[in-house]
Amino acid sequence: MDEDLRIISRFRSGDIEAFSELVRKYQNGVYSFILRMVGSEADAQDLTQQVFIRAFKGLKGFRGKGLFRTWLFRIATNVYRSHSKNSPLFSNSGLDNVRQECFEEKVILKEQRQVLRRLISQLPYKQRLTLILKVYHELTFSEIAQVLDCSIGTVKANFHFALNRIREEWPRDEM
Amino acid sequence: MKKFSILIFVIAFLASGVFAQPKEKDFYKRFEMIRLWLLTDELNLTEAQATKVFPIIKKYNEKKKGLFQQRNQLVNDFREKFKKGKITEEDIGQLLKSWEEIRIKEIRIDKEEFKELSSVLSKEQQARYLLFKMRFPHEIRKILKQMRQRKALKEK
Amino acid sequence: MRCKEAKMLISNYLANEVTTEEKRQLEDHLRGCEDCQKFLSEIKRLLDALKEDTISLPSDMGGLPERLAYRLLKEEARPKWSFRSFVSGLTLATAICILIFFSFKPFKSTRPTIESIPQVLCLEEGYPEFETEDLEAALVQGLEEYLEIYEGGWGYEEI
Repeated sequence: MDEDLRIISRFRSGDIEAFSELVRKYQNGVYSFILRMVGSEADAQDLTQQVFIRAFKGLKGFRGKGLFRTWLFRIATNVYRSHSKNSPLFSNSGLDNVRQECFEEKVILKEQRQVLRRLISQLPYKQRLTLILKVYHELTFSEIAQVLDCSIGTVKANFHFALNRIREEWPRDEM
Repeated sequence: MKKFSILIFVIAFLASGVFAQPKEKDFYKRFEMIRLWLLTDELNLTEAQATKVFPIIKKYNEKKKGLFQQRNQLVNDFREKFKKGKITEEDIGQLLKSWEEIRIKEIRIDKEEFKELSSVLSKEQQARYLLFKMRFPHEIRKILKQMRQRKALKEK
Repeated sequence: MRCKEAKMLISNYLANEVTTEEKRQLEDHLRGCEDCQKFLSEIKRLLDALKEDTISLPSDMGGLPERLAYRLLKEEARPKWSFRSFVSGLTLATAICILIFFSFKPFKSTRPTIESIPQVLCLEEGYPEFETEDLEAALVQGLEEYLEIYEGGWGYEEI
């Protein structure tokens, strides 16, 4: 049995603290996903909590057909969509807190990251989502198709278009 | 060959834990949520306080649970002996002594808990927590009474 | 395989999302096409650069499970009907009149109510530890056993 299903099964048997294990396992992933989508740390923190609260309340609806991770990211996507309807466009300000060792490396890497993040933020919604879920969360295309409720073919195309677009905009001297 | 595959099947079936010991019913953790819930309201905890307070309270509740169970066992044994008319002076002395030891441990745990909480809670919150502890079984009894009343109404 | 098809496949190839046949065809094509090799190399460097950008949970988000528990407990304590939602459906004048009227009555309480207990305890998720399918029976049994632990030994049993 899948590790997550084991935890959920314990949760359903009365050990309600088992849910904390799921939170600790996925909190980083959900937070970083939301942060890349919204850009603001404060918003990302609040939305991360919303994701887990929705997951907690909806857990009895999780049948275990797909992976728990896929189901969770689907919730995260929906939470993001509800939020983005009511709020200003992506702001890059929250993504600037980066910890590195060497100062020179710090400056170069920071600039490179900012450029890439800006380019990602300019992608169309589905391309951005596909790229982030694939590159940073290593979901399979099949999982991404479930999250986005589209075909695998669409996911593959979106992934290609996303990378190609960034490649075209990325400054030549970075390559 | 057929006997062998049946054997494998049976071993696999047994190993899957179907005939394993039934799990200890752990409702205690679940019902501790009531305590946290009432406490959150009683102390008017903020979210930031909750992140520090909840783990502390859970930790010491677990320690207390062990002591409660010891105490309950002692009293139940004593009661059983009493019903059978087999209590001796030694039993009475032993109960008092064990009781005292458990009480000392409980108080020590309470003190440790308060020491940790004092860095997170205000003086007023600490005072409320003390009063809450005294009142807590009474709160549970109130809830039980209400539940039983609702049940009785439904059954009419 | 033509360059246009090959380029479409390269992203999937680098993401390990191609079939064995697609992989074979692509690798065949790449062997003889410098342009596509260059494309692959650019996409690979882009992917590597993207992956270097890591994010971790900020320190003030420590204790997320406890924050969630807190939010859930607070939510359950709140009455389901709220003054705010009621007012938003009225005109301003009417709203002001009602505000004045209700300000004299303490109608809003955050005191936990008994109706919220099943949600707080997640009893809707199932309660196999109680061998009963009746929610209220499980709740009563659980509370009795819980009280027994706290007061236990003293119980209600008469001698």
